[in-house]
Amino acid sequence: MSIKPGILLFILSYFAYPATAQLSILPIFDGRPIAENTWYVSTKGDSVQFDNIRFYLSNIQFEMDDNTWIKDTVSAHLIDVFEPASLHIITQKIDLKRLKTIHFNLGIDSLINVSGALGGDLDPQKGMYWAWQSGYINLKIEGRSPLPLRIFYPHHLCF
Amino acid sequence: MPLVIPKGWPKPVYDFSKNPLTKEGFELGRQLFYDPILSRDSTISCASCHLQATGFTHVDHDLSHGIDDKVGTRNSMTIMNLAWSKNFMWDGAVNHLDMQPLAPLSSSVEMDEKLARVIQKLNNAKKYKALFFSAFNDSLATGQKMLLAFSQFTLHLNSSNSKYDKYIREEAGGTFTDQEKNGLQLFRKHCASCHPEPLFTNQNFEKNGLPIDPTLNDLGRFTITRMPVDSFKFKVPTLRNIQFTFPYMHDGRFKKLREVLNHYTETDELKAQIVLSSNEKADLIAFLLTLTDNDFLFDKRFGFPKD
Ligand code: HEC
Ligand code: HEC
Repeated sequence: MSIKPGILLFILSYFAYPATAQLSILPIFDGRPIAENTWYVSTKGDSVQFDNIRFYLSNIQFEMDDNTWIKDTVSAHLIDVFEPASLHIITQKIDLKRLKTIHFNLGIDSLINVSGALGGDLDPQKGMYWAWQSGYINLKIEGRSPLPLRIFYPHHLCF
Repeated sequence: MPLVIPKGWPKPVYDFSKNPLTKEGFELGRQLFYDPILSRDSTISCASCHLQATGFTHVDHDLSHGIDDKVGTRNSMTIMNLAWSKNFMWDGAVNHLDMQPLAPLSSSVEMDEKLARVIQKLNNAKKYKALFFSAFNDSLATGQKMLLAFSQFTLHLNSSNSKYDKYIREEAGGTFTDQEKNGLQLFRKHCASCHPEPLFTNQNFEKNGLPIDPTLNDLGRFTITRMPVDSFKFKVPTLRNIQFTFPYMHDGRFKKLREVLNHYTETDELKAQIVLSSNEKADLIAFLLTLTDNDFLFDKRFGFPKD
């Protein structure tokens, strides 16, 4: 990944509903929550503004204190930083007192990438699929920076 | 309508359990394949470059022509027996049949339309509401459903009833002349390593010794893998219906089978040098013509939907 460490940070927190677990994602940049039409200063001193940040969280698994693993029923969630509903992932029921670790992938793994036409958040209609060379776009960051030019810089990654 | 696997053929690669073939799914796929509304200005359909009567390729065009008459960089491919293919496109850029339509739909020289717009257009068309409903029990078009329907159609485009097939099955209409028999022997000796029966492709990427075209500078499989050993390797195309799928090769550089054979005997880049006399070339061509399957080329189910 070519994003400098410390510039973007996703905090994952969770709390209990009576029946399900909810993972909430708080996207922050340089210590401040990421908002639209807001200028941020990177560690390198560049001003940046974000228009679009979307990425996949996939294969969420809960490791319990007896070393059993519980898999999320949905294989991948599309997170859109400017779409508040997508920042809260409701998963199946788990006993939070026994939860040891949450595992997840940022992006899409090679298995999903060769599985043909998928639906839901993985529908290519969501704009997170490369057309000319098969595979999902794991992370999309688009925004602007005044230097050297006020241009839109698409930053798409697949790793 | 499950896919009938011809006797003696290998197991298909496509996972039908994820997209069971139905008559309704096929019909939706067929309508989509022939419908120009999928392109930005409603001028180009898949069939513009993939015509049934020529094995679903763009006959007589070396480089395919798309929207606003823009010219692409490669010759259109045939669409035949794709349930047995592992990779798609000349360089294997596409790893699953379901995902293949995304490439032409969004290419700026082909159909040039955004997927979200395509889905929106389908959802606005009365005709498609009914077709999606009968195929998926849900009238809402989505990217996934559209892609599955395209596969339903293309998976049916199977050719296995040529004179050659009848010869192998020892059926009526399958009597080979001496010339055709000799051609088959020559084929098995010189060509079958890359174009093995019954599919006439080993489904791999190979280098067949074509000199590079300096204007197109197409490195083939290397473009995808970035591995030097893959330079100038291209997907081995099937030779079924080869009589009608000219021009030949990824850039359509040859118009006649004779030119193709001249290339194979002139190149010194193959592992085993191919030597063929002029008469043997004639015999080999006579054999290649037995791969024409008129039942497939004129099957009304695959043609333009008239309703
Ligand atoms: C403008 C011409 C054009 C249009 C329109 C077009 N194609 Fe193609 N098709 C091509 C070319 C050229 C290739 C080879 C591309 C490459 O190798 O980069 C190809 C390759 C393919 C392949 C791969 C075959 C193989 O053996 O790997 C399939 C399948 C296919 N097209 C189906 C479609 C479908 C479905 C549509 C409509 C959604 C469509 N095409 C629209 C020109 C076109
Ligand atoms: C080393 C593997 C190899 C061998 C041996 C080989 N081919 Fe090919 N063949 C290919 C590849 C790869 C292509 C596609 C090349 C390209 O487009 O750049 C091809 C393309 C063709 C085409 C054009 C098909 C089309 O749809 O455009 C014909 C016809 C053909 N081969 C016939 C033959 C015959 C006949 C022989 C034997 C004399 C033969 N090949 C031997 C690998 C091979």
